[in-house]
Amino acid sequence: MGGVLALTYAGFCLLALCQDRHWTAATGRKPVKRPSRLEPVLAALLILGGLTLSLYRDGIILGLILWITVLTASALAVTFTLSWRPTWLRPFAQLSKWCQRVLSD
Amino acid sequence: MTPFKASMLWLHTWFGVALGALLFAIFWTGSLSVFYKEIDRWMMPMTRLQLPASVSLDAMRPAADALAHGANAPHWKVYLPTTKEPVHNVIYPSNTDSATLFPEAPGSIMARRFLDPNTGAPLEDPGTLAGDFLYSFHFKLALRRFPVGYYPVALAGMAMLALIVSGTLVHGRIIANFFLFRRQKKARASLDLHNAVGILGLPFHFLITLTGIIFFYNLHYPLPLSIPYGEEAGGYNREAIAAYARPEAGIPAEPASLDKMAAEAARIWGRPVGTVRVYHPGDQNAYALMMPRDDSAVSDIRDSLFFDVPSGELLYNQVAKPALATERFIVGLHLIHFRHWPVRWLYFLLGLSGCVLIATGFLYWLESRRKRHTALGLRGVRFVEGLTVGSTTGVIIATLAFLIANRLLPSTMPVRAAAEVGWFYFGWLAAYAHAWLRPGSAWYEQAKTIAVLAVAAVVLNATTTGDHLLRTIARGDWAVAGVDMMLLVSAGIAAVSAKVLSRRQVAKVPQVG
Repeated sequence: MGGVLALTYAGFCLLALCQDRHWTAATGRKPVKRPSRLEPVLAALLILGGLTLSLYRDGIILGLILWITVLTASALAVTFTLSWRPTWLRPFAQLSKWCQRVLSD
Repeated sequence: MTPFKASMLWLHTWFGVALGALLFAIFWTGSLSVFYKEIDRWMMPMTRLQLPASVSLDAMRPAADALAHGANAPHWKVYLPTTKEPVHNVIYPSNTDSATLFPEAPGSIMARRFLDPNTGAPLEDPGTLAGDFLYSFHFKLALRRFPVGYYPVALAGMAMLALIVSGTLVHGRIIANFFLFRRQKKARASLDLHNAVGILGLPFHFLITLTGIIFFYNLHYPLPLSIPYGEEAGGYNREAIAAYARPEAGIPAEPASLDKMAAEAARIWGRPVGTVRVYHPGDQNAYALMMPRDDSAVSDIRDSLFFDVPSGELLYNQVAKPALATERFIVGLHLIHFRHWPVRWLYFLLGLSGCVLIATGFLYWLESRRKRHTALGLRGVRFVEGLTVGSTTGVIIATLAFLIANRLLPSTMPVRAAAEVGWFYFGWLAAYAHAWLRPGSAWYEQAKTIAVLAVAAVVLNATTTGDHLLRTIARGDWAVAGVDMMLLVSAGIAAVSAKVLSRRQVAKVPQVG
């Protein structure tokens, strides 16, 4: 359960950081030359990882219900984090920078 | 803005303002209904019992028979004890229900009594509707005497679907504003939150509204069923759920063991028995209808077995047909009777997010009109502001008044359950009156009231039952402890809100002067 929440939360954080407004709020710097293509893909993988985990935990029907309801909960959690403590997203900004480095190499 | 968008905005605005108050009450009582068995334990201290290792139908049958005979009822039904409700829950048609002030038509109201899971003896009458009141408010506004409450709820449900669709169509920047909540910007905060909760919560809000409407499809849309079944009342139900019936013989007969019949039923299904209904108790033609319980599935299953009570022979085995199974699955998605704590909490929280959605919709309506209305001398904002306060914080105050009445009213009081409901409505009306009479400070004062009432409810539970938080936690009674803790959390949220609101009021003063 915690795993599903963590994976989807991380995925939504990466997605939010693709938007300039949230990137600036999280890092305090204006974004340069981003986002790369890799971040949305990684975000999608994380969110689908959450789906896999909840299907594994609860089977198809209950797993889907769990995943769909957790999606809303974690996306709202990201929204509130950005509103109250945007700097908490810094680790994800690091991850995002790493994505850019991987692509540019 | 295109004419289409403008028309959608008009629909969204005015359906929202007109039905928001009703929708808020439905979402609020619906969210509480997720935990309605837990609220039952809190409001019925005599049922805070340990579930025994095994329960006996034969031990409880004499008491249930006596209750049904006393009320001249043709049948009784028992929900067998579970961990969430560790007592026999017996219901039977009765016109001497303590919950109603008015004389009822015979058989139109179900009476409920609880029996001890160990001995089968009746427990003291709790004299409360408890969670059942909140639950029945959710889908029929708790109207018992006349079955008209379903229709406003259905209208609100259809309006909610229309509001979800029109709101999404009006919303111009779904992707750009996906995670956006600028809480510091007063002009934007309520709209941002409305949009974020609306879009992110859309899957749940849509699912819960749609399944809620499908739940009562035969009431809202009776035509499809009237074609095959004609005017025959209950024809569909008889065929889909209870295909066996026989009249009373008028000859008394000794019943065989219900426990043996239940064991046979459990063997046939591979699942335990959840409910038993005995028709014509004590008669030669008595028969028992048994239905299974399955905590692990979404579907609220309606397979049924009929037994001849005097002999214990199986009379009829009805397996739910595909259409019924589909319906029960959809209904199950709404009811979440299955055992899954994370999903239950998520339903509760997302239900409350529906309340936030409605409340912020109201706030945006008010904020975007306040200046213009004040300049033009219009009364609209003041009226809707009172409506908003009364229907949001007001219904919370009403619920707390209901809980407090439950702990304060004497157990010997006649029509005690109705008096509790009276406190609920009195609290609500008082909140509306207050909201309209003191528009400037209503939000702040009602938030403060909520904090005080919630703490008072926890204190009253501790003093009147002795079950304070430390004791319930030590005993592992998470139902009662959970309600107490949620009350304390609500008190905390209300207190913080009151503080923020009072700061805002102080900040406003220099501007005015």
